[in-house]
Amino acid sequence: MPQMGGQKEGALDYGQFLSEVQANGSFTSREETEGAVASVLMAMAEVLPREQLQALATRLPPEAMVFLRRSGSEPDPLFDSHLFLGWVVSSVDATCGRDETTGGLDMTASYSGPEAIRRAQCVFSALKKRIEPDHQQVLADLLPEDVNGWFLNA
Amino acid sequence: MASVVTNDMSIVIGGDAGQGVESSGAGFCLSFARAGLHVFGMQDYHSRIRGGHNFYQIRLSEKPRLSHSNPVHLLIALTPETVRLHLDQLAEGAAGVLPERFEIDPAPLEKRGVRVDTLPLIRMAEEHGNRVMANTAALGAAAGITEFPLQFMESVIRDNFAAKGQQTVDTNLKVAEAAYGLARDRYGADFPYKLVPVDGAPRRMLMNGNQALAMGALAGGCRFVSAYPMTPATSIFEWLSGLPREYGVVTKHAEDEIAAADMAIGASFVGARGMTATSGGGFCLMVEALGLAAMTEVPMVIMLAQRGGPSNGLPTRTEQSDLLFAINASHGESPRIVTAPGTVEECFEAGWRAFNLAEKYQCPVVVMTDSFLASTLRTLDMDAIDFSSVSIDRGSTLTPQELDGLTNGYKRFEFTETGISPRALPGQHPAAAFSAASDEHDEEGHFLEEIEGRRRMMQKRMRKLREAEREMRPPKRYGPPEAETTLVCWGSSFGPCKEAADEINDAGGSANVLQFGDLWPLPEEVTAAALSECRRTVTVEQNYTSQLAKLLRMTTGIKVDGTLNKYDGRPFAPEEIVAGLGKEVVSGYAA
Amino acid sequence: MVTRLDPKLFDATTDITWCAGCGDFAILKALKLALADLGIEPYQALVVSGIGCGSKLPDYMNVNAYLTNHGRPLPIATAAKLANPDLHVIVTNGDGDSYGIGGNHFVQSCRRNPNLTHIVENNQIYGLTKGQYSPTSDKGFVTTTSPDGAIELAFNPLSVALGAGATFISRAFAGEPKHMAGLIAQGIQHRGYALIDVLQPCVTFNRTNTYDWYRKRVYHLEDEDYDPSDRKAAWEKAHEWEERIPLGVLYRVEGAPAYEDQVKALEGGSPLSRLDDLVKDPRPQQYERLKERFT
Repeated sequence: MPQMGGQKEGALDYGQFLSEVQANGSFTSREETEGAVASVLMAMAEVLPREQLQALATRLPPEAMVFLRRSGSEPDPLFDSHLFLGWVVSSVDATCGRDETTGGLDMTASYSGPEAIRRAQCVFSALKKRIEPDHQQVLADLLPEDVNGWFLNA
Repeated sequence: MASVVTNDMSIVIGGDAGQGVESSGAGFCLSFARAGLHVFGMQDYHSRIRGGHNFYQIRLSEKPRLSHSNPVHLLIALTPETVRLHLDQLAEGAAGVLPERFEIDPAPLEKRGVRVDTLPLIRMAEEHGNRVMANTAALGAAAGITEFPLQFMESVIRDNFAAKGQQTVDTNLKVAEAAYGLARDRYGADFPYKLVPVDGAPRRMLMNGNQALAMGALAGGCRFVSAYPMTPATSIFEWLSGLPREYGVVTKHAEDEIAAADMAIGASFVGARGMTATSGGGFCLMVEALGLAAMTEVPMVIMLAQRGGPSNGLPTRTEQSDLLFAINASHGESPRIVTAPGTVEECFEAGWRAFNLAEKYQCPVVVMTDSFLASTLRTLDMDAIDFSSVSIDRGSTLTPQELDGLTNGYKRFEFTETGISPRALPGQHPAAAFSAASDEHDEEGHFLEEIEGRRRMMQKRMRKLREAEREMRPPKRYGPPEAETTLVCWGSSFGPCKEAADEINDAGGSANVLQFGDLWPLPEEVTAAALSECRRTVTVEQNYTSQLAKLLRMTTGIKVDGTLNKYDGRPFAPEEIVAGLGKEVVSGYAA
Repeated sequence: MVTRLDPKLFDATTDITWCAGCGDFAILKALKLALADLGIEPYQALVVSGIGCGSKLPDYMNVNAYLTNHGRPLPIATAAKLANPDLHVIVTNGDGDSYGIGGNHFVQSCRRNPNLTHIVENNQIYGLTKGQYSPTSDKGFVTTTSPDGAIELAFNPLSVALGAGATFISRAFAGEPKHMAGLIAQGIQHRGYALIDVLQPCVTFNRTNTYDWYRKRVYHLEDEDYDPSDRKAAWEKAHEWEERIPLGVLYRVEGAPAYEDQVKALEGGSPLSRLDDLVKDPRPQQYERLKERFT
């Protein structure tokens, strides 16, 4: 599991941010790490109010900030943990290969939910290092049910 | 002149498609019915709008007849082709009429001892009305030849043409009258077959199997019919569609037979009595719907009017080749009920009974007829269709009081001893919202794949078949019990078989008929018992592979002694059955 | 006034077998909310589906659910509504079910205008059979059955619906469930056939049309100066896809009669209510005069 707490850095170095996430998640490549970061931040962008996104963006390197830009207007009030996972799962390879026995692709989708949560927490952990504890709680309160727990426990 | 035969003859009216043979023949049948004669009017036509030989063969008698019969005594030919095609069917001393513009070679006629004259039917039609009325002239001529009082023909002309206006009625009447006089003068004295009104005969209806089925369904509470036009089932749907709106029958001409069957299911799912009507090719498309209805335990009624197959086969002709298909259609194993009325009266009962069976056992019911039974007109006494005999039995459908007694946790597919679960209808009660899945499901209708759950649900469904079997009727026997030969049949073949048995017995032979009406689930014990009592069994079926014989053997282990098969699309005539006995193929495929 | 209900009334205890993150969760949620907002109780609604991942939806709700054959929910739902017009009948099925195997029923329903709400869970892929291209897959889309890329043009449900005469044509996005719930509620309130085509990412097998892919393209028609009664404009909007994808009501005809409004035989009661009456009183004499037709 990723490290909890830690010192608050004003760190704006994208490379270092990615390295932290990669280390947290034992991701094998920079691309995979960046995919995780992008999907989690985009999911957050779907659900957080604009001022919170702006506040969060100031704590992130510019390369990561772009993912927090929401193209939609107001967050959809029904946005929930399933949708949050939907964004993150999109970065998880959910198939194993061809299923030559019954046809189609061989799914690994049953792992993709826990894997997506794990990825989210890897990113959350790196984020939280850059956010004050009371602000963390504010963000958690704004995240959908279940996602707030993943965030706080990251 | 030979001795006169009164009220016992057969008439053929034939011509090209598009010459109005169908309505002329039907009008002819009705006029004889109104005169108190028993009529059996069989239509034979091609699958085309124009061209090709069509004919109506009408048997007239003072006794009820369940089949057409040969030979034919009077031929109304609208084309020379009609004479050529029906020559061999004609009795010695028979007469024929042909419009004047044709010429016929007299040699073959003389050889057979029949007389076919040309009459100026077209000229008479043109003189009093127009050329189209040549049919009317032909009918008038037929009445004249048989010296059948014109008034009966006139009453039908009035009814049939009323919608086209008084002038049309009047000119047709004039045409008929002129032809009548001419024909009576020309043939009357020499022609030995006469038709006279039957004194004191009761009023009768002239009806075909489709109409009786439709009336049965209506009386049974069917208020939703979805179908796709397909000969010979179309007229069931049309008849119900044409009812006055007060009857409240909602009919839907669907985009295809898949939708037609599914719509019947949709209406039945919510608790209405829904049905569809089709023939072989359409039934093929309905097969997946049969599985759905069985799996989700939705009562569903399919009227299956068979025709010649496979593929488009013989669209307008008769066959009984879908028996094993109807019993087995759909993948997987599921309960269903298959019945096959043999007469028009039985069609009426089959029409309403199907809905009771469907609701009682919550499964599909297929009622099988064929082109022969579906479209042949027959006279029936008014009380042969007895609406007060109809009962509506909704089986285990929950009443409002029973629904009020439900607590939460209603199980639509509850395991019961009979396999029949109490049925709530969607939208009727807050405590009875339920799920029904076409996938295997648990008692509440939710998806399930576990071993024990599957086994129990499968057993529950199939127990209904066992229950239904108890209610299935044994075969009906007609004729002397100890007969030397038993003609074993199902569906419409009963008519020709009965007539054949009568003929055999009248001639000093010994035959009876065993008619199967409830075909699936076939009641094993009573069937075996009925067959065991027979001395020599011969199945008579309008198919190639003796499907009833196979079904009997499959169910009871009993092999019939012989099989008579006909698969040319034309119904058995009793004479063919009589002639075929002794020459039948013994327990195998027909030649 | 409609009394809003708690959407939780529609919660079921069944196990949901969709993949984590599946767009169908949002559709399930939106449908529950729409029904609750309209004050429709679970027993008053019938949700009919076909076969496929999305077609499992009715089994995951507390409602009258009928999970039928592949491609067939529309005719079944149409008849259910005709037989009992008091039911709120909703169809939920996928793009393969609606536009492929059930394509004819879809086209016929558009021109037939039964009073149904049709929610299509359109993920541009066959999910339950594990990743084959669907009628709405974009040309060139590579799957196990289109290894060189799909050759056919993608089926355009909105323009087909428009061409076939549908009276309510809309599109939602699974990423915006509240917006979708609003469209579903409008669809339920619409008298006639209402299509809600939902862009619904398949997170397992469609790695192209993801939440992000849609998010970058979707926009709301209601945010623009757009008149959903304008057929020509709707035709234009129905063909927007590559760069911008419109959400909302593309086309709506107000006041057109639904199919069942025009069925004369329904005027005195439904097939169901008439059967109830017959059970109490079979009235054989009512039929007697029919016999006269045969004499």
